[in-house]
Amino acid sequence: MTLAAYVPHNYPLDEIEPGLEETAFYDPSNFTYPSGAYACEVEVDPETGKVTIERFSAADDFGNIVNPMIVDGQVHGGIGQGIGQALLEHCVYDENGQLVTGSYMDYAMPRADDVPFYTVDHSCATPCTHNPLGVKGCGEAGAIGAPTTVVNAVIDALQSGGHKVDHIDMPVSPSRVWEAMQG
Amino acid sequence: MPADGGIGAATKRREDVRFLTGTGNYTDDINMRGQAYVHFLRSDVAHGRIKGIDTAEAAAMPGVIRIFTGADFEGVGSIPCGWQVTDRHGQPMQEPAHPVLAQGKVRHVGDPIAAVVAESRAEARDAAEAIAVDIEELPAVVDMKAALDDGAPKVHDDLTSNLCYDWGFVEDNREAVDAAIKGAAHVTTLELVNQRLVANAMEPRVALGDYNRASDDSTLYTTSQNPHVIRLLMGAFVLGIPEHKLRVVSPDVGGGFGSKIFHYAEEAFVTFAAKALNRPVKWTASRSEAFISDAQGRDHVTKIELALDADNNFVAIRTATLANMGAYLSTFAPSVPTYLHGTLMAGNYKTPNIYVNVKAVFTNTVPVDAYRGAGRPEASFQIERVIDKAARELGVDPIALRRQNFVTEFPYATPVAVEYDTGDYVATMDKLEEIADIKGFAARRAASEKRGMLRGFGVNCYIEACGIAPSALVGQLGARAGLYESATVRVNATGGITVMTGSHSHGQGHETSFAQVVAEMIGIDANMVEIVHGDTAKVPMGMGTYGSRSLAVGGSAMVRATEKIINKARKIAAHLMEASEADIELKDGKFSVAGTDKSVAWGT
Amino acid sequence: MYAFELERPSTLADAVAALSGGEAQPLSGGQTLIPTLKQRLASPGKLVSLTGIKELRGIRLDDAGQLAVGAATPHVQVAAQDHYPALAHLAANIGDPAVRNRGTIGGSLANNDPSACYPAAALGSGATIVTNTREIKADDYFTGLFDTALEEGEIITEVRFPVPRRAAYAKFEQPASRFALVGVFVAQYAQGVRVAVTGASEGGVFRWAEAEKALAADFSADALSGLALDGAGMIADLHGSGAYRAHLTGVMTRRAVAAAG
Repeated sequence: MTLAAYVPHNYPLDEIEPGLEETAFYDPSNFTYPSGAYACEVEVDPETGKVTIERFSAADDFGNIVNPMIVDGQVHGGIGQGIGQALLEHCVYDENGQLVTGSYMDYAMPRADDVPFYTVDHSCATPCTHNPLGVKGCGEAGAIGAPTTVVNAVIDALQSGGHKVDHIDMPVSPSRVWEAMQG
Repeated sequence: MPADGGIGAATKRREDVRFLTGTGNYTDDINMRGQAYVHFLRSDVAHGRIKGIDTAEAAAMPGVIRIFTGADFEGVGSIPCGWQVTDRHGQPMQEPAHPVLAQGKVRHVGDPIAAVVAESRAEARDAAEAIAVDIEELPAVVDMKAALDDGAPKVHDDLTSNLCYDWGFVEDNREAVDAAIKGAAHVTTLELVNQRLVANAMEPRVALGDYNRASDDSTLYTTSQNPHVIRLLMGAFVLGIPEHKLRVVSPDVGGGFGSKIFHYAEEAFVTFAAKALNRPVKWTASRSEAFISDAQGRDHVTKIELALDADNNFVAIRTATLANMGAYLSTFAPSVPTYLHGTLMAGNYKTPNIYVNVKAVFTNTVPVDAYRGAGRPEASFQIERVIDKAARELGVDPIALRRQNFVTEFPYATPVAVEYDTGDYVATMDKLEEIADIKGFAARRAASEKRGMLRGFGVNCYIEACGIAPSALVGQLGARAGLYESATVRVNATGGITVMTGSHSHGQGHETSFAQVVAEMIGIDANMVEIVHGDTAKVPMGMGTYGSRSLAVGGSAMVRATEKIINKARKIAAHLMEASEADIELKDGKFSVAGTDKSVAWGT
Repeated sequence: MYAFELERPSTLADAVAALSGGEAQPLSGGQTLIPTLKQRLASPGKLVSLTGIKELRGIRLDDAGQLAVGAATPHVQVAAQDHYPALAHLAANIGDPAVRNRGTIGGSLANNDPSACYPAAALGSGATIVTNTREIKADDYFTGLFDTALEEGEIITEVRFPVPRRAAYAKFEQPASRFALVGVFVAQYAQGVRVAVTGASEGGVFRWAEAEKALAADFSADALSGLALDGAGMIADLHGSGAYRAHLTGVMTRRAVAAAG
């Protein structure tokens, strides 16, 4: 068939042009709305304030999925960056506008041993109703869902130890957790 | 499904072969004959008036070709902003000029003052250190609250203040929200910070400008998530080069996370300098430079109030946020705290009254723009933290409180202007409780406590708006661009397929997943489909990759183009088999005539 | 990096001679100096590499039974020796594999970064820092932040560690750099107990005398209860206040004692 399109010896030239190349522009009629529920379990060392993430689970609804391995990877990466925001990363300027965290000596990036193995699931799929593939998108989900999950878990841990702590701003670093525990 | 993977197959990423064997083609891997190098002399003070720049000594140093300063760019356009927010009084945001090289003032540490082009990177850097800059240091504004005080030093002298905009969303909701909060049985209040982050893509930014004097064509190779957007912004607004004379190429890109969406001064500089010098000019950021020149993320300070009735139903949310813009408006900066944040403040919940106020503020810091999630993590953090706090104050289970307030009927129109088409928040929460083994938590907590550790369980729901975006809608909201996507599907004579997509892959694996879609639709092997992206000379005008939009928008364009291909191919097949088009079936890469044994293969 | 001359002497005598010119600076593993040069924060006219000098490398037990580590010995080799397990453990957790394969004990002690690990081991062990001209007791060697008793052109050749009955190092890492936010080295000898603290003080590594006294009487974590440092004089930065570092010093000391068993 394809050869006939470019060697149109036997071809319906009165009906269609030779060649086989098409372009489409697609403008969506709505946003897509991925959603999900995340859970995290942390251990807080009450002596040092250090937070360790013990378990992390993500149940996402991305609609239909083309390549589940790539989706897993996107979620893993997003959660990693979300944990980075929750526990480690902080861009700080001093009062003169000098960047205090101008290198990795002071700007803490998440490393492999800062994150746990993740349990991710995207079997709850409600396909998007307005695009032809029924897909929603998965690139940012982990980075959106993870930070709050971690902070909520840290607060729960502190409350379980009798510390009346309602909130700690990110990054929930050891020193901030310790300060919060001191009241 | 095709044997080597169609839709739903966990196919290994084909692009990883080159990435893992060191044969990727990143921008810094591109080197051109006669290439010169630029080093930017950047401000080491956050705020100052430039009283003089003496380049005489530096210009005489070995290898120096030419030194550029802001004066060389006086006839050149300002780096544009792609989104105009209208404030709660109907006025457009304050929009300062953003010169390629500083003119008159420097406004953040890292603001480029001069650019040395030399035969080698080291010579350019040596000479930059010999430039004498006379700067009168001015008081810097760093803290957002202080920046809004009367009499605060102004980042931009020609603006009335450091307030970019004061935005209310939805402004018509405000009185109803105030009333609902006043009458609520319980109000939980939380002040919180979404701290500033550095995007830190593994590959620092690189830009290489090239100019062909014979044809008067300019080419920019750059680490971008959206080469057409750069071509439009830089060509039309900064340098005045029409699109047909300007090509932008973004080859393999090592991560973006949003920070490579934006049009940066360095891109305009190398394109401009290549033409001025008739030589290719290359810039490669160091990691240290990335920290002070890549747009940064987040940096919101918020007060949120959640009001509940006596039965713990959410009745209202009211927020007030200060959002840091940094010293200049990066390409999409104004949209992040507004339309990517305010529209998400309903979260997964049927809260009837919501009002969001955002004041965007200029400070003497690196510009802030979209970073993975862009506005949506900030929104989600507020909602989900305040719900947790409310649950604790009310003595109810945080999961039960969420479940009670979930949106359960779709479509659902939120009070913040968007309509969720579908979702099942109960199902994802059920699944979460299962995979997280919530039942086993008490035992795990007891085991931790035995070891002297405090164990906590945290839960969180999120919703985000992706597939950015319906052009007409975002146009009303201030976008200066359309946000459609494009694809060309080119079937070659022997049946192989080349797809030119306007989406851009910088880690997402499109070369694999996009091919799976086309292969599935036609019923051929995925390895017969090649995905081409990242070159304005090859790909139809597209808008690039960010906001989890590639498959939803770019994939949809590709599906539409493939449908056109199949429709035409069906006509050809009908002719070849002397059958009616209506009787032609396409299965497993083969056209056949229904009810006969006649068939014709897709390719040869 | 600015241009500089590089010399690679193969004997200590040649190295001393090469360093005698005013502009020269010794280069050992380069894990601090090279990044500094790359950022153009230093511009020595000449670097004299010490890692090619055979007599500065290697680990042995000397006649007095002390563990003698050549100054140009990289951390991985110290991590691999089993004469002094606490020291091996400390070396095995410095930086990352690149740092441990290139970085040397002599380089670390000469630099005396206030957050480095080795100063705690040297001070906590009462080590002797041997140079090309003399022997310096650890108690006299560390004189302040990035400051030591070394004279201009003086080269550390060997570090001799008396091997304790028991010892351990407990480090709490700064989240970004993973240097010690606070690191405590505890060692018990026949003559007494030594406790050396790195990362915490504005004055650099120091001995915690009250803890030493308490542990000499009773070498147990419980013996430290009630002992506390205050935050005055402690480093305060975005990773923790002085009070936090003072608190961590107590925690890490108890953990080191517990680990020493």
